Amino acid sequence: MAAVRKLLEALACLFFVLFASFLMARSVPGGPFDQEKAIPPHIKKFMEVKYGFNRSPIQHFFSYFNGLFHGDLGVSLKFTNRPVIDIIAQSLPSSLTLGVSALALALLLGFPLGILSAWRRGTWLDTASVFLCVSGVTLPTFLLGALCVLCFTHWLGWLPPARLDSAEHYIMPVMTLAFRPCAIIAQMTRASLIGELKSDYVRTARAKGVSEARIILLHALRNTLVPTISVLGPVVANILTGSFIVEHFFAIPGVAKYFIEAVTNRDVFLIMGVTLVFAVIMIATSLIVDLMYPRLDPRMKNG
Amino acid sequence: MDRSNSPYKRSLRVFARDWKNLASLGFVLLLVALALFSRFVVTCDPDHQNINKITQSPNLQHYFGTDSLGRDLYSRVIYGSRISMLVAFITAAAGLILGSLYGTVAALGGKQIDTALMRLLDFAYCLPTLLLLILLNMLFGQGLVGIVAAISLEGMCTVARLVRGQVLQLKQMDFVLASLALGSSRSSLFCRHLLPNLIPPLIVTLTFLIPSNIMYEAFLSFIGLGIQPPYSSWGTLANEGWRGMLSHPHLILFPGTAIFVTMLAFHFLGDGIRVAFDPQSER
Repeated sequence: MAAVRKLLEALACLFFVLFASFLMARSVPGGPFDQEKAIPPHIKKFMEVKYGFNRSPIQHFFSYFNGLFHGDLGVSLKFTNRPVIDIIAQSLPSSLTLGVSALALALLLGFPLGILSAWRRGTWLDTASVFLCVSGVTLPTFLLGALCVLCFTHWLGWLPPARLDSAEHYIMPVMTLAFRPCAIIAQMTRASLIGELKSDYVRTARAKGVSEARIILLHALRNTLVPTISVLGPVVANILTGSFIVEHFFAIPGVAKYFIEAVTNRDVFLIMGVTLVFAVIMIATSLIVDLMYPRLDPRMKNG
Repeated sequence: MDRSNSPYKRSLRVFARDWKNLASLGFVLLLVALALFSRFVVTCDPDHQNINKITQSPNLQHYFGTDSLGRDLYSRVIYGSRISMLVAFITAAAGLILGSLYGTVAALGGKQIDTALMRLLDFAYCLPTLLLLILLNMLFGQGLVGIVAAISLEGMCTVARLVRGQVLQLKQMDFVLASLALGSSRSSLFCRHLLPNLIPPLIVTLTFLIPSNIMYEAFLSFIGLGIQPPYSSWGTLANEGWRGMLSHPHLILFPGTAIFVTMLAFHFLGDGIRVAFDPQSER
């Protein structure tokens, strides 16, 4: 029952997000039809009627929302009459591949790094990992991208600098995108594992002579999963934010790149389409995290 | 040596004990001073174009080299810090004040107001921050004012959650109950009992809000949706540098490093302040 309630809440949240962002996207000063070359007023009027801009924002939203249920995301105002759903279908796969690989890489590196760092606390390994975490949080994504390109393209000549034409094109964008989430995951794992290693059951296990590796892997690690899973929401948000920078930086024709263009062109329906995609990803992530909690920690079943 | 038990003096003592804290504080003050007095630090006019000196590499005359219009990059980075810092400080202050009000009203206003206000905030957590900032920026209009308004509102959402949690926690404390039993009004309860207890966590939040706002402004400007000419921040400089990155890497490396160094200084300062205000830190 709790799951159904959470799902309904998530849907309500999605509706609210769509409503608010539609009002914001539609309120852009200048309007979608103001371009460098002025359009004759009667044609402008005709276009406003065609795309619904003569109606009140609320009416306009509900006709848009009605369209969503029929799989109609509207048409792009800039790329004349191309359906938004086509643009998204074309650009989403590369963005998704990029984002999912970055998430996988961040988890695969960040989690073990955090464990190692907590295990060998105070050694050079820990210092190195803390240093990596701090730079992960403070290094601007575009500086990291620039360093990667300079190193691997300019000096070594190993990797192509931009676009996504083959598998090796993915390496640098994924690395750049994964760095910050990896740092967040490692930091969180380290902190919660260190906290866990101070608890009574660990002391008991140590007193009984259980080896440190066994304590960490069999006893403490399971309890650090809950705080680590809770960081998944911010991590996904981070990857989505990073995708704007990375797609711009490496000239990748993904959804975020189209979004930036759509904002410059005041292309309302394309803006809404991308917002919908990002909102669904964010809300689905937090829903999954919410549903995973009781499985990892039975105490949360009744709370 | 003064061993008084005032919590602020104690925090100050803990803070001053670590040389890393003092170094990062000194560095942050230096950066602020550079932004404030940039006119006296620059070597030439940041907007002066010299067609004979385009895209020079760093040299003794132009420490950071020159850009594609022959402008001195060192002066531009120093001047860029003004906009970056200005935006970060104003948005952090505005976000802090608005967020504290919002969070306190939610926590003290009763169940229905609380639910309504918190549901409204959920909006901010259903979208990635940068996308939310862009949408808000569309609402407020492009330009400096729009960016400041957008980042402030985003900061407000973070602060409001935190303050609400703190106030709800404080509300359970005995001294609040005692003060209510003695007949103090809601406003005096807030000013005399809640606010003093909120200030330490708010100071800690401020030191984390400023660097994250510098970063968000830089991100917005880097993708071309932030600060527009005639103003330029570190993010816009990085965007300009990105275009010619392979042939003239110094154009993106210097503004990027300026952001990195500033973020590092604020990160260590924030960490030091957080530890200093932690009641368990002295032992």
